[in-house]
Amino acid sequence: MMWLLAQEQAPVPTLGIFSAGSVIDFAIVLGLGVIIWVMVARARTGRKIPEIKKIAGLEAVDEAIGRATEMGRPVVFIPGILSVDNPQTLAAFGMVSHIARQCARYDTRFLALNCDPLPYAVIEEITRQAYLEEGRPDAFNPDDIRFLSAEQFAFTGAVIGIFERERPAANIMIGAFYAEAMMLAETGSFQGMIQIGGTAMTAQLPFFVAACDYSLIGEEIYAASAYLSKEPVMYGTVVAQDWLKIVLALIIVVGAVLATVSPDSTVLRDILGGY
Amino acid sequence: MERLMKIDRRLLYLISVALVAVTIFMPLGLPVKVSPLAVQTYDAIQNLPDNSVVLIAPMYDPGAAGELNPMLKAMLYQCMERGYKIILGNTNWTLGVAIAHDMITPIAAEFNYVYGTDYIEFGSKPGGSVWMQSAQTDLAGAAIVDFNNDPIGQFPLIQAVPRLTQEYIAAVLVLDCGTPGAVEWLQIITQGTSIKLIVGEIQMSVPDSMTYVQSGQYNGMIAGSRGGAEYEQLVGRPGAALKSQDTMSVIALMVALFIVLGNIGYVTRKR
Amino acid sequence: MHITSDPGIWCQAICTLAVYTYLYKDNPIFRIAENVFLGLATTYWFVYSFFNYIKPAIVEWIGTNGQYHYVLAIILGLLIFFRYVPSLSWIARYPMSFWVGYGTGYTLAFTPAVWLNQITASFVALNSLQNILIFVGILCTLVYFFFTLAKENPVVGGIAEVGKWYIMIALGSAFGNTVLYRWNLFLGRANMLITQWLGYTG
Repeated sequence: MMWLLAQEQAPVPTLGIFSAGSVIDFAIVLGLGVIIWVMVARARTGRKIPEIKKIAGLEAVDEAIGRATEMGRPVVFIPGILSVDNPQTLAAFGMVSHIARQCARYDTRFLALNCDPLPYAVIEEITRQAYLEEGRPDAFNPDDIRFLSAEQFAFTGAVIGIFERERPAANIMIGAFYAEAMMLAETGSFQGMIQIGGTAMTAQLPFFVAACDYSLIGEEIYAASAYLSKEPVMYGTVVAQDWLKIVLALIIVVGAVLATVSPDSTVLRDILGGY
Repeated sequence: MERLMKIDRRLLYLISVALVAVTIFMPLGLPVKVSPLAVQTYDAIQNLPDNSVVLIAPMYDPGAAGELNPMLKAMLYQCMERGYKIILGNTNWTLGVAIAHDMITPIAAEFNYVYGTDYIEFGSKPGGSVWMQSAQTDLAGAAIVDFNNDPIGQFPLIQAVPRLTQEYIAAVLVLDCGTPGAVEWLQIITQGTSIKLIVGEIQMSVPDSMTYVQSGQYNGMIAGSRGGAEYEQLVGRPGAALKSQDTMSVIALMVALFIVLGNIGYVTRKR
Repeated sequence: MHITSDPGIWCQAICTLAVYTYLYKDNPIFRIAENVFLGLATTYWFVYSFFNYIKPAIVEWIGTNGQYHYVLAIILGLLIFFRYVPSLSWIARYPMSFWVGYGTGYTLAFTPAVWLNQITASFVALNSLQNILIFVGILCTLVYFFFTLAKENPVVGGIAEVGKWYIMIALGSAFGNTVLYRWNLFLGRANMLITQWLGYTG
């Protein structure tokens, strides 16, 4: 076959198991894993670990639930539109437990609106558990945890419809959002809801910043989730990530200095697997 | 001044509709200057070795067709003018392959491309990144049937490309509007290989994707409708993207004007 | 101008206009369009799932290719229906755990290579204003996302504040691009109405 680009032989695995260039990837994951394990272990046993500082706007979650309670109207939670294999959806799970518990405590109706069947199932479980832990299993209504549609804009239309009909007082959106972010936030804003939006989707964040009362930017959703839940695994992970960021910052500083004083040097790139 | 913050949004809609209608009925013919990024993208495709095999993945649905259709069309023209073999298909974006099928059929006829030998459509396969991993080890096994539900292993082009690896394909051209998209192709198929990754991106995702262009992970990017217009000019096939630039320019001016007015209202209110 | 007689285009045009009536205010026409769309989408996804996931898995993967190990995956997937049996609903957690585990593993396996590349791309020589701005932006934005550092500390707080400005500028850029994208969507609809429905050929 003449059109084939028979250029190179298949790469030989390093140490017999790693595909080319992936040793450093594995080392980083392993290193991060060790830091996380140490931090989680310390958090579990009550030993001292760095504390996650309060994130601006996070207390707004309780404020929003409080306002909904006063008005006797529901709190809506939307965990984005991606499935359970997306880290942002996992961050939403961390927050939903806190929100559902608060709603159960104050006897405020809690609506969770889902676009993907798997988060729907998980959130139903978490909410049921939250109501149980608050001693209000009778108040849990499975019909308030809803799967609307897997089609993005059908889901959006359905949520807007619920906003119009059920008039929630608070709308909390945490997770991976796409084009629906603007439509949902704008409709909520017109309805006068107190809104909290958080996502790591850069293109959608401006709409949350513009239309929501409080917004969580990017990684703040993971930290917020850990801060609220105080769950050792999540807490330890966020602390460990801070350590990783310090290491990365140092690498970038060294890399930039090397690039300035010795532009031809590839030492650091070679150490980082030749990327 | 505070009234500037409270302009009835229906007035904005009305002005926008009027502007769109006027520019459609009376085109202004504003010039569109070709950017270095568009040239880089065009060159990345143009400079692939002769007789290369390229994979074109229309990872979008009708929602993004307005921006991505013109890019796909121009890409098909450029690839066929260069004589590349084309494998067309995606994972998880069913409607994308239906749109692409309607587009490639007449263009292939124009260039006398023979189905199965010069180009093939494997349709849309479920699985996202998992499917990509399968195709990396066994393309025919992962695809099984083509767009028309015929066994795909019988076609010479697929026999010549047993795997989606650098030994067999020179570039992956992704029309990207969500997940799975270009990043998954990067992670699974092109990262650390000699396979070029060229992306047609919706305007909204351009800032995000620009970091991949700067790091060299994307070898080229057609940036939104404006990028599409530039690329159409480079390919020598002016089309829908170029036509839309009058309207987009006028609308951009209008939006900027109202943002300035709104902010004047906001600042004066605070004082 | 030659208004089309194609019922498909008429249907598209009416639905488009019905949805746009929401721009004036919420009304019954919009609600009808919304409900029709929701119903259609539900049916579409049912058919889509059947023909793109269930049928290929059974007919092509297992039937044609003889990949019988997929039977195990199908059984694992079906366990999710146990959530409708209250006494056995715990079984439904296993497929979800599997999927979450896969997602985490995938992320750990495939993302480091992608972002390591981004890190080495930020090794910029500090010899031009553009590069210095990039360098400062990266470090300050990283500090903004340090969650264990007290932002009340004037040095940390100051650096984080600069990071916040960088983020806001980036969000402004994202906002502009997204607004233009939305207009492009509208332009696509307007073009459909004017050229395909009303038959204006210019």
